[in-house]
Amino acid sequence: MRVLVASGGAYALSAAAAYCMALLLPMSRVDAVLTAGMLAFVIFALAAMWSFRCASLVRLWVGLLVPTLILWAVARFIL
Amino acid sequence: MRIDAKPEGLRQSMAWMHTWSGLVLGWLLYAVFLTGTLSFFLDEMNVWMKPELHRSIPTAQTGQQAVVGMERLAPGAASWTINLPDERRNSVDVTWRKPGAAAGRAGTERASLDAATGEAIETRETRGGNFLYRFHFELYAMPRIWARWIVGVATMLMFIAIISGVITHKKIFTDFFTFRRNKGQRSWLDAHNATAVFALPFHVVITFSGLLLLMNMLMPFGRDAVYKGDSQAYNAEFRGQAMQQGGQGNNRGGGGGRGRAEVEGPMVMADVGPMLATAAAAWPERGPGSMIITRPGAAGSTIEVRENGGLSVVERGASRRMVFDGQTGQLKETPAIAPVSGARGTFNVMTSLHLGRFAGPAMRWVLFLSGVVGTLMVATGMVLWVVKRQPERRKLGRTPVGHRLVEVLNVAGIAGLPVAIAAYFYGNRLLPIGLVQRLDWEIRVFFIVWLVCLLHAMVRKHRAAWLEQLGAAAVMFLALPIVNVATGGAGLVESISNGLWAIAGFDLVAIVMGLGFAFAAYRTRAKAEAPLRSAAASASSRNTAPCNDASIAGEAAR
Repeated sequence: MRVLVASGGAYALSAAAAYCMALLLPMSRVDAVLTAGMLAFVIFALAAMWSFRCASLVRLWVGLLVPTLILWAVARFIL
Repeated sequence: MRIDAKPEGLRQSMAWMHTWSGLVLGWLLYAVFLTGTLSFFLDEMNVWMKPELHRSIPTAQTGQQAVVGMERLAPGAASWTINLPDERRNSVDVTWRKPGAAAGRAGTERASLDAATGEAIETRETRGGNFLYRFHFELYAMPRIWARWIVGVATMLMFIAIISGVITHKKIFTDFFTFRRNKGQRSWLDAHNATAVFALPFHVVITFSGLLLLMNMLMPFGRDAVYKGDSQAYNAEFRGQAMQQGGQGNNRGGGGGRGRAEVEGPMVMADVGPMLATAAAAWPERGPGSMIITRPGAAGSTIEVRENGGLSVVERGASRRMVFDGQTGQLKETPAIAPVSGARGTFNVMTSLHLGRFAGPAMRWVLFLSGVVGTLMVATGMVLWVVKRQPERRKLGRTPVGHRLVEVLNVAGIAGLPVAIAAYFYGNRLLPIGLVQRLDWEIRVFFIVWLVCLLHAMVRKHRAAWLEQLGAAAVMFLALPIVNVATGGAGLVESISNGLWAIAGFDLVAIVMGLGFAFAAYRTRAKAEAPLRSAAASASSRNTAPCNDASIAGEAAR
């Protein structure tokens, strides 16, 4: 269970972060996309490890889902 | 993972994750690491697997001879790309495009020329080292995109496994200097740790850069958001900048797609010798690597000379260039290498390291040896899983099915894959030249032998299976240089005396690998009387032996 949440959730979070960063980063668009992509993998690894560290499944869900949704919403509706 | 939901320490949770993600992915990663490591010597394998090329010996006149050869081979082509021999290739590899040929790879024709005479050499049908290279990220016999996803996901998990491994291992640098020989499980753990820490920078970089190379597939969200799904615009922008930097390495010379604009009377081309000399003087480190001749033999012809791989990793190994007039031989321009932004620079550093694009001989050996160490890290980790569960098995009094499965897959993966790779090289030399679908048969030989190794591991006892497959690998690799001579290749004496180090290096590495496997088999056998400890001790020596030997050979070969 946790493995699924960890890998899927961490991937969703990093994807949303890439989405958001690519739009936000103040550089040329190719560079922004590249930087966002590179950082996304780092975020993925950190998020996945935190998932295994996290004490409860509920906190894990919240911890991954909330930032994912915020990032996604910001990128989708504000930017 | 604790079922009772009590908080557990960071290190325990990391250890748990490290063990299980490692086990699930171990065999795949082992195969990726091993074939990928061999791919650092892709050119060398390609040369070795075409023994027809072994008599081609570069001279000072190779450049001129190649142009003469191209005038015979492809008169009236729109462009010629001539890749000159270097320390990794002893033939001249050429491609050309006919006027009006289809765009891209389909319209490109290719051949290999003898470096001394410029004559085209007919080579056998083989995929060469490219099969192993492709296998390391696209596997085989499945849609390319699936395979890339499988390898990509495995790489993402490996990235986690490496970082969690560091956290798990609190005394990381103390333990690096501890190696307890012949202590069963302890030795395996030490071997796993030592190989992991020794090449830790390599592991982190190779995994991360592997992800970056697959980034358009694994993490396309930023691109899609910014370019609104127009991935072609992104690719064009990305590559457009790369093109300004002078293309990517000398193997992919542009080859100018344009047909001849107007047909003019024949023109005598200027001698390329002085041009190459000018370039060699300007680039003393690497020298000229390739020539791209547009509209050869016609008015307005240009000859672009490119450096043999760039020096800067930041520019993705971008080559410096000189453009000469085809008729007068005058230097027309030396296009500057465009400056690179920080983001692209970072990306280029990572991916160039992964591809070994910039690497001279010494660096290539460092990468290769790091890859060997990485392969051993994966292998020792998987053996450790089995050894660690020996006490549990003794307590149970039987071998659980799962444990047996891991054992079988370990033998077939760790020892069987090298046997299959050796068999692939044998197939290359021993299958009849005129065989229909010869290229596919070479690959079939590889998979059939690998399958046989799996069946063998299933029917034989665990230790016997290790011993026999390691022995087979040893014999097969040791005999490769003999097969090389016997089937028309340049043997060690001939290749060394002619300075063909690509071929000699292949043979020498085969010998070193054979010795490594032989030592491993010897240790497995010598320890057979002490059943519990033997598997551990023997294979730990096995797993340290090849890299030591390889490093010695590395120095010897270069």
